[in-house]
Amino acid sequence: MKSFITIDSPGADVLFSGNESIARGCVEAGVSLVTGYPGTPTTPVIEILKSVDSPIQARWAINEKVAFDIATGNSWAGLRTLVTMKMSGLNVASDSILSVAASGTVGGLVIYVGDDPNVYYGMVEQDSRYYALLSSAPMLVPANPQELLDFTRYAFELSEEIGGPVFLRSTTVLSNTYSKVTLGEVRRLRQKAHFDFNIDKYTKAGSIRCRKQHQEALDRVKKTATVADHLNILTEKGTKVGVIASSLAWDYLMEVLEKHDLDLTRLKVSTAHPIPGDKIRKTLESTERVLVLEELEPIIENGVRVQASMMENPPFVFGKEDGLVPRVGDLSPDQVREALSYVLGEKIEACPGLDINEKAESLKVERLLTFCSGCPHRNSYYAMIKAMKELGMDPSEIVVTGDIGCTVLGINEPFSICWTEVSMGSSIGLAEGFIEAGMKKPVVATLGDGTFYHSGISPMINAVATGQDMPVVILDNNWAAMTGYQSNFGTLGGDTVRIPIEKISRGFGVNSVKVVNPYKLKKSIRAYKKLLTARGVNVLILRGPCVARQPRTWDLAVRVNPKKCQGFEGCERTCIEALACPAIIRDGDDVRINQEDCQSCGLCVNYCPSAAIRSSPLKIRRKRIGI
Amino acid sequence: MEFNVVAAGIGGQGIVLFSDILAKAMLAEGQNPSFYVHSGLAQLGGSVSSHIRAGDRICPKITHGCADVILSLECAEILRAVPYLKKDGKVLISQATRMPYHSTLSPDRYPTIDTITELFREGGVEPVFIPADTIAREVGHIQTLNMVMLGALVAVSNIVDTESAVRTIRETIQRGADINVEGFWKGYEFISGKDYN
Ligand code: SF4
Ligand code: SF4
Repeated sequence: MKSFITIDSPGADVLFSGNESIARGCVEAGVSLVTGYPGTPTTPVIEILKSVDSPIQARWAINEKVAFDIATGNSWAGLRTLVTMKMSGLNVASDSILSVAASGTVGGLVIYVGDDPNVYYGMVEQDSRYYALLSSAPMLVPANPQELLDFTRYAFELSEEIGGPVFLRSTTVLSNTYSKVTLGEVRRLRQKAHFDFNIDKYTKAGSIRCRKQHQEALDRVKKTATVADHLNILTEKGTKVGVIASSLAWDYLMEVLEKHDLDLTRLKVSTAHPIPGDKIRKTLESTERVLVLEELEPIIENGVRVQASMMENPPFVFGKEDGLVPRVGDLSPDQVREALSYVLGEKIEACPGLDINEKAESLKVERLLTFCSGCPHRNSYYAMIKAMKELGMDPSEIVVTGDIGCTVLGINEPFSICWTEVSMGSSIGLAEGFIEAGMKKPVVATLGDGTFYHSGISPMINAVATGQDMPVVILDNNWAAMTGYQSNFGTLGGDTVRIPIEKISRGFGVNSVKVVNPYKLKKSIRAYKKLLTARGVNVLILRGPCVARQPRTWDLAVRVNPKKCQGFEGCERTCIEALACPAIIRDGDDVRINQEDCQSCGLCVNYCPSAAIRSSPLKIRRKRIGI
Repeated sequence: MEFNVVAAGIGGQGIVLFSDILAKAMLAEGQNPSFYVHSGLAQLGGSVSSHIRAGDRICPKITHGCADVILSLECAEILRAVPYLKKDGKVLISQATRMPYHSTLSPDRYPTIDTITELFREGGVEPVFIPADTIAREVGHIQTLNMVMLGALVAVSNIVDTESAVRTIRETIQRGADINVEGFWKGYEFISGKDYN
């Protein structure tokens, strides 16, 4: 089937998500390389481009900084490049980004970053627009999938016109919005790699060079203010109240205005940096009260306030600084309606819904995250706790540092074993800090395979070099599961040369490395017991593929024998309480296993103190998911 | 014309596919659809919802009190969609249940069908419960539950023709299209046969 991502039929209407629009934008812009690191909501762009037949090279890098460096090399050789990452990844890449933003670029270099207002996925609620200010590089903030496509294509032109990198910023909601998008023309650029020796531009040797680069970066922003100003649209209506809105806040504003037949002076800001000073000034000059709408931090708002401070009779500016619009969480049409009501001084009525919202809220079922049924990590943590107990340790007293990804679900009940979550690969450094501080030993570091490659290698070297006694547990499920199963450098059957974790850690001289199958419970417990009592840095790799990506064998039926099962009445700690496997379900006081969900991992069979759970070979192979 | 649907469910139930097929069918009919998927961390088991719209504007989120239909693929998940429902809107609830860990330990934390019915009646709306999981299993696979609910939605709303819905299902789903189409019809008939309109 021909993909709409690559098809060359300008003018065709298709249904695209925000991420598909960006992928398409790369095709239309004639991009040569797209690289990055998986991070919701940006992940799909590379996955989409990997799956289609196009001249674009799309591939994951070990982390965001490396991805950005690769992208820079490609751009400096004159080729168009996109680099993708979530907001946390921007922090990782920022060292290089600031440097390159000062140097400037050659081939168009666009940084697609996804923020997560409201924190749909965990991690710091961070406003990446500050990086545009910090690095003196322009940032475009589209408001819908069509703009994501158009702005992506334009960002490459802008980048080449000003000679510096350009940020393209989306958010979780925007990247996950699907709508009708009209395709443009597909360009194929015949570019040949070429690089000029120019240490004034490409190095930071000497303060004169660096100051000059700083000035040049500022000049690029200034030029953007002129050449990209057409993206910011001012609609003058002569009303006393005006609104300045950006990205999704603009969509919400228009929803409210049109629904309630309000026609106000309004400015749509599509360049978060530099903000459109002239148009803001115009808006301020023609109004008496101005509301600024944007998600997260008051960045545009503060720019508006600066403009207002230079006026003799400025209008009132409303927004976040006065507490009207929240800085925490994302916005919605309802919040915008309320803020606008306040500024207008008259109530805009909400749509009449049912009068049962509070009651519905109180009945809502919370769904705490647990491991999937059959997940190897459930077995790994279960074995860890069991080993601690067998060694006479109290698991609730042993500090276990967690890391990013599915592995950190060990924080939740029933395991409640991981204590911390900071950033990619930080579990090992944290553990070293705890040990140095004199915490009771052992302090255990746990992380996934993806986090190990991303940022776990250097802290492990550090721990070896400083002579720590540290058990390091690597829960290796073969993919970056939480972001949708991207392969990494340890993935069996991945698309790169495989560099196994055990080889890497042996290479820098950890005391011991053991690889165990977490579904072999006894072996795992034995390995943990050795690990928890050993001296030096020791690594235990529990290797079992993510079951959501690669379901386990379907030849075993695991069933509860109702005659033997003590049920919720008689069982001291039921398998449901102890394991939280979603496949084990409660039926009154009885316990059953949902055959559609069970992955035959055998953990409950091992656990049941009454030997009531049995696994038996299935006569007919269970029907695989046929769709 | 503006038409808004909020669909709720849990990860793994196919809310994205549900929304994608509906929106593509709308696009094929010359409407201007959009949808936005709201999901949390877990691929499996966490809450997922989708705001599906047809109209002139593109605004990902539906305003409270403006949804013509709210529906859920998992019984209790309908509760998350309640604030979006219009006064005279319609409610479709799949009877499939998925108790999370905490509700399993104290089942009274998981609302029964009676509680949910009572709640909507208080708001003056009669919810329609659909044994979508049973229907899906009869059709051949639990994964067709989303198509059963799509059929039910099309039956109560006529938002797209059954013909374009079926065509889009066939175009979108390569493997197992037949049982999905059958699921769609079963869901459709469940509603149209009962004259809920
Ligand atoms: S652990 Fe065994 S006895 Fe206890 S509820 Fe589970 S199956 Fe029944
Ligand atoms: S064997 Fe037991 S623990 Fe494993 S997936 Fe099946 S029900 Fe869950």
